[in-house]
Amino acid sequence: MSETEHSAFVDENSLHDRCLSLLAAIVLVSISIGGIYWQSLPLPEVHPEVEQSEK
Amino acid sequence: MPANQLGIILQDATYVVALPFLAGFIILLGFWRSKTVSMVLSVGAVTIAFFYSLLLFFTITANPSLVPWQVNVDWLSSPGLTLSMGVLVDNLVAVMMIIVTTVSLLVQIYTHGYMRDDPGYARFYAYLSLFTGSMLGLVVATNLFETYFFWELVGVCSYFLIGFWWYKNSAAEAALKAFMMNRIGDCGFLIGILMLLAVTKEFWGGHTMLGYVASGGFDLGSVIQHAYQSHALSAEFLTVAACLVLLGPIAKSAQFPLHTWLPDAMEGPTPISALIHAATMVAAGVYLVARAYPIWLTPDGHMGSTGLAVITGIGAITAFMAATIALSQFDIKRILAWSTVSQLGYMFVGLGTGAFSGGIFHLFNHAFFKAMLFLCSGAVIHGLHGEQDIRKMGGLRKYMPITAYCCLIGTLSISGCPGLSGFFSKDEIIASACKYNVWLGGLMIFTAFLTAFYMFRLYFMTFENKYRGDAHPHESPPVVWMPLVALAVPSVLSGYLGFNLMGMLKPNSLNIPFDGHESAPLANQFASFVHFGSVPHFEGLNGLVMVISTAAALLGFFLARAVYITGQSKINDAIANSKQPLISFLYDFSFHKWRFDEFYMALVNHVALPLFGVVWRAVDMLVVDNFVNFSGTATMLTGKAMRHIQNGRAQYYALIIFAWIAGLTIIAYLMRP
Repeated sequence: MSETEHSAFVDENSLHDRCLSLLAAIVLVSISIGGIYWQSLPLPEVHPEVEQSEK
Repeated sequence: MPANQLGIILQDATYVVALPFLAGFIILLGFWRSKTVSMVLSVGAVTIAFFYSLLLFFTITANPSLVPWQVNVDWLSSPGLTLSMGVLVDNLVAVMMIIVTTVSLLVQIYTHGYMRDDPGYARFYAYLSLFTGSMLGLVVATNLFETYFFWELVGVCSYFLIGFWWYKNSAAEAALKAFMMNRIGDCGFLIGILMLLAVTKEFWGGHTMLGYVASGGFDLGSVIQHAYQSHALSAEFLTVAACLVLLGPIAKSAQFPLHTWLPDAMEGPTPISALIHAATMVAAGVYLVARAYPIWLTPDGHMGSTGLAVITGIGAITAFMAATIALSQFDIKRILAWSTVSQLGYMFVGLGTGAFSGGIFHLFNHAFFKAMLFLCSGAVIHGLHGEQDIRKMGGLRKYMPITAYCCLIGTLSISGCPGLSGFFSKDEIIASACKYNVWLGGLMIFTAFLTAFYMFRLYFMTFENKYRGDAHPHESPPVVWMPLVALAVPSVLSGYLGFNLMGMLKPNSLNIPFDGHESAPLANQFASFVHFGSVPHFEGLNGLVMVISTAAALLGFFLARAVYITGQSKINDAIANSKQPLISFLYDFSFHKWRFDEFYMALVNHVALPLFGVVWRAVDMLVVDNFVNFSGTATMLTGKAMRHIQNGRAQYYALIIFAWIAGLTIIAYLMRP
């Protein structure tokens, strides 16, 4: 392992760490947007007779 | 966007599954020498897979008519039998892909912080990639055979990762135990598949054999129904085959009685516990039950089958048993492992009692909060330099507040705290269990009380009161706590996908009956997206069940608080040190995990090995040995007899030849016409 790479794995504030933390933040934002989008989708009508036959 | 372009997005699923595999192989083939390259390859592949999963989800929701979509290629072909490999994309696959890629990506980010000093850092990333690829392959499998193929691959990856620190005896033994237990289950799984194939192979009409989804009535459900109507398959045969196939999910999802491997699997590094042994691989059993749901129905496709009853029974026993064991354990990871076993039991109960969407919804919610809880435990272990005993923790909220609050969110969620994700899905399962059988519902509610108690016991003993250890606790770096925060958000909010929030805000919509009856069915986002059959099935709300299960969870919380925070109750000491034979027995029974390991060891030592001894003496020594010995002796005696002839003297050989010629001449003379 080169000297630069070695320091990247010792330093908890290295470029590696910062990039990965940023990626985690992007994941957080993405799943939040996905969740909001999913929640906003129109729901199908509930047909009691279908429900009854399903049961 | 035109439909053909959207179709291309679906087709890309093939490459997305292949990407993590490719990354894993490239790392193993040479790039393991560079930690950075290994990490970038692995994280990069799963990042692409994550964004693809989101894109797939948006595509499907915008154009529901595009799914189910699948592509198959012949893998093994012989007259009358063609097995295929392919990629299936439908709503259930889209949800599972989101779970797998989200948790895998966050775990891979966390891994960088957790494993940075480990000499096997690059190898770990390679295995993570291989596992992610295998898991995605399992999710998109189009038929039971393909599922079995990837099922074994995730099992192998799990074996490698449990035994990652192979130089530790406990890790090597745990890996072997997991492997053996899963072989037992997989053996039944394979026999079940072959049984189904044997009776249905004539009914597939050239379509993908044992395929989950197909057009024209050639999917698993329709073909079973057709075979039943043609008297090629009986209800009893289907039940036996279904129970054998179920052995696979039982072992993989650590259900009673093949559950003992999962807590021992905690010998592996914590990121693995979060990814494989909490969120994804162990949920594969539940996924398979959902994916191949028609197998467990009656042959004509109705509920009330023996198969579903077996699933329900196994799930209920597992949920209760694991919760009672978790009460008395002290290893932070093992408590979480037992809670995983218990929650998987809930999912089985959901699917078994007909709450198809509810079971998968709990899988979805559980994946996020349990992965987070495991990552929290890893952060604690990391912060305490390897300490895993909660008796040597305490007061850590002061030193690691982010980890503590994330763990609190996970604890509240798994305990079924109203408003958090676990509440919505668990409540759906409990309501379904109550409808199925009131005693079953009662057992599930009691298990919810135990869950709240042991989870708050864990939280209080770890994060509250004073620190009891001698290490120097510290908060983890951002690369470790950022994934926790990212998982905390769905742990709180994902439950609202199963709850029509907007509909509830309308006037007169909160008309929940509290007299034990259900309200009118209420549509929700999750059940309208993931459902069995062509029409979504919605449940109503049962206010009474909701109140009782919430009260049970609250009781668990207050009891844990009284014991571990205020000290008002000394029930734990009284039980642990009790001289009463029954109480002492029960504590011992819980602490020693219902004595399953001892029972299995006794079974091996006193039944299996003596039986093998009998077989060895009767078959190996009497038959095989004697056959081999006879063969050897006969050869030796023949050699002894023949060596007198083969003496190397030319005159002797000439004499033999002369004797033969003379003999033949005499015979010819005597037999002349």
